[in-house]
Amino acid sequence: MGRRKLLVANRSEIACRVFQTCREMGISTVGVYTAADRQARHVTFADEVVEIKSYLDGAEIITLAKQLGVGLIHPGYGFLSEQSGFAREVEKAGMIFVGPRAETMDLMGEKIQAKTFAEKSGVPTLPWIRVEKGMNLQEAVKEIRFPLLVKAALGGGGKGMRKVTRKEDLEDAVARAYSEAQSSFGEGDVFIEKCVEKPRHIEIQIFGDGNGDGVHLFERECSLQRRHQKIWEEAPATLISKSVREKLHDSALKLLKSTKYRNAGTIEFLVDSSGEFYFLEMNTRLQVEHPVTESVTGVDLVRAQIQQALEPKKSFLHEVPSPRGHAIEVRLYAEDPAQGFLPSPGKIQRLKWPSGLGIRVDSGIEEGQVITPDFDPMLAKLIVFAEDRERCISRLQYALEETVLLGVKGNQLFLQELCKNSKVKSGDFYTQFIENELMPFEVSYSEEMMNLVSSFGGQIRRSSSPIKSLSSVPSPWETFA
Amino acid sequence: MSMIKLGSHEIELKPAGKNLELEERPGGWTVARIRREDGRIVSTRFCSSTFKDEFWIHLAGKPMFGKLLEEIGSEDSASEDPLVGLTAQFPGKVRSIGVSSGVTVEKGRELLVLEAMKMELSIKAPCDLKILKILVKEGQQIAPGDSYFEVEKVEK
Repeated sequence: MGRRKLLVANRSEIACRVFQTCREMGISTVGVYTAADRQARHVTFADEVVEIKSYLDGAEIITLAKQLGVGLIHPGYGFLSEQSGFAREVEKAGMIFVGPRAETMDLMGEKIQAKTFAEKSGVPTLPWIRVEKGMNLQEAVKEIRFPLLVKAALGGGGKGMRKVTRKEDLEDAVARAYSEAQSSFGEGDVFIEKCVEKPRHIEIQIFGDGNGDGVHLFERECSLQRRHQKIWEEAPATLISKSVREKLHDSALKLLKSTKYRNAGTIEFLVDSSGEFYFLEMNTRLQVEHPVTESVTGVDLVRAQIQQALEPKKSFLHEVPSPRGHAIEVRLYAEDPAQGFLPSPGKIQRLKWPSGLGIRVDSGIEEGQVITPDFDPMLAKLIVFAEDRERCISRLQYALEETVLLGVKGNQLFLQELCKNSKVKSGDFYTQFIENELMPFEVSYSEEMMNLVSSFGGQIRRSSSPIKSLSSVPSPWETFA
Repeated sequence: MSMIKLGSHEIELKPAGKNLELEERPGGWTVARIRREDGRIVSTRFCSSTFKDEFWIHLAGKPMFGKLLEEIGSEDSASEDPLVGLTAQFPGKVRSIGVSSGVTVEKGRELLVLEAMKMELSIKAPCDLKILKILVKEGQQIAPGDSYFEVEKVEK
C-alpha cells in the first residue's frame, strides 16, 4: 500500500539517511535523480529510482510519485523542503508530506513576518525596523545603533545581507540590498536589525504534533561557520549557563506552541557574550546537523517524522531522554583548503571511512564516483560521540585521520586543524571566528612528512604492479642481520 | 629522476633505501617500517593512488596531493605564466562577464564570475591586459582547459 512507500525528493547523504530508517520501519523507498546525478550514492541505495528533470521540479516529482504508488514524500533539506507550494500540492495529490504544515512554512519563510510573530509569542528578537520607501533612514536607526545588518526578508545563507558600521554607508547599503533582493528573490523587502558582535549560533530542535503540543530536544551549537556555511555542529552547546540554556529551550517551546508546529523543526538563536539571546529564524525542516541531536538523545528523528506523518493523532515523543555525553558533526566538503577552499570536483579514487566506538558516517559518496560541479560540495558528514567534549574532540581527530578520501580535494586537513585549535578546544568561539582568526588558511606539511613521501613515492611511482608483499621478498633488515 | 610537486615544494621520489620496509596489507593499506639511524624502527601506514599525472597519498592521517612533474613536462613552465588563470581549472558555468572586448583592464579587475558547486567565483585579471576577444557566453558550461578570453599583456 501507499503508506508503505516513501519517496525522498532529495539526493545524496540525506536521501540515504532517510532510506535507512524506512528500511528499519519496513517502508519501501523511491529515490529520484537527474541526468547529471546518475552516479550519486542514493541511486544505488533506493529500492526503486526514477529520473527527473530537476530536484526543484515539484510537479514532476508529484506526478511520478503518484504513478509509482507512493504514499509519503520526505523533502530532506534544501531543494523543495521549505517550499510551501510543494507541501500543499503533495497533500492535494493525496499523499503525506513528511514535515510541517504549509502555512507554517509561509509564516516562517519570510523574515519580517517571522520576527513579528516571534515577538508576539514572547520570544526576544533583535531591535529592528522595516525599511519603508522615502523613510529617513538615519532617524529610523537611531534606536538600534551601529553596527547594523541590512537584510532581505527572503534572504538566507548570507545572501542579501550586509553589515554597516558607519553612518555614511547606510543609504548605499540599503539601496544595494534592495537591488540584490530583487534580483535574487524577485521581491525587494528589506529590513535593518542590530548587529551582534561575536555572537554564538545556538539552535533548538523541536518536534510538534501540529496541535500546539510538542517537545524540544535540547540545543545544538553551530558557531563554527565559514562564509555563513556551518561546518562543525555540536551538542550540548559550550560555555552557556544552565539558566540561558533553559530560557532558550522555553523560548523554542513558546514558538512551537504559538505556531502549532507539526513535525521536526529548528529554531535558531544568536547568543551574545552576556548570555542575551535573540530569535534568528525558524527552519521548517530536518536540519543537516540533526545527527548531533540523535547522538545525545538517542532519538531517531527521521523515524519520529515518519511516525508523526503516518499517525498524526497519536501523541508521542513526550519522554525525551535527557541528553548524555557530547556529539560533534563535521561536514566534509569538496573544497580545497590549499586554494582558498575552491570547489574541487573530481573522481574519488579511494575512499575508506573510519569505524569504531562512537563514530557515525552519513555519506553521500562511493569510491569511483565522479563528483560533478552541479551540486552542493558537501560529500558526507562525520559524527562522533563520546562521554565528554574533550574526548569527543580527540575522537573526531581520530576519525578524520582515518578518513581516506583521495581523488577529490576535501577539507579534512582544515577540520583537523580545528580539532587542535586551543580556542576551539575551550569552546571559545563565535560565528565569524573562522573568518576572523583562521583565514587565510595555509596547508603545510612537516619536513618529516615530505621525506616520507619522498621515500615511499619512489616505490609507488615505479609500481604499476603493486608493491610486493614482504612475506615473499627477503626483508632488507634480514640481510642486515 | 621522478619528481612530484606538493604545493610549492618539489620532492624527489627516491628509490626505497635499505632502511625502509614496505608491506602491502589487505584493504589497500601499505605499512612502512623505517629503521632510524639510531637503530629504532618506526612504523606508519599509508594509502595511495595515482591517476594520470596526479599523485594522491593519505599518510599519517593526512591527505596529500601532488603532480608528477615528469609527466607535466613542458606544461610546468606554462603554469608559471600568470595568464593560466584565464583558463578554466575546474568545470562550471559562466554566470556573468564583466568586460567587453577591446577594453584594457588593470590587474585585479573582475573579468568574469563563474558558478561551480553552488558557489560564485570571481576571475580577476592576473596582470594589466587588453581583452582581444571573449571566448565564452553567459550561462555557458565550461570544462577544464577552456579559455575565457583572448588577451594580450599590457606592459606599463
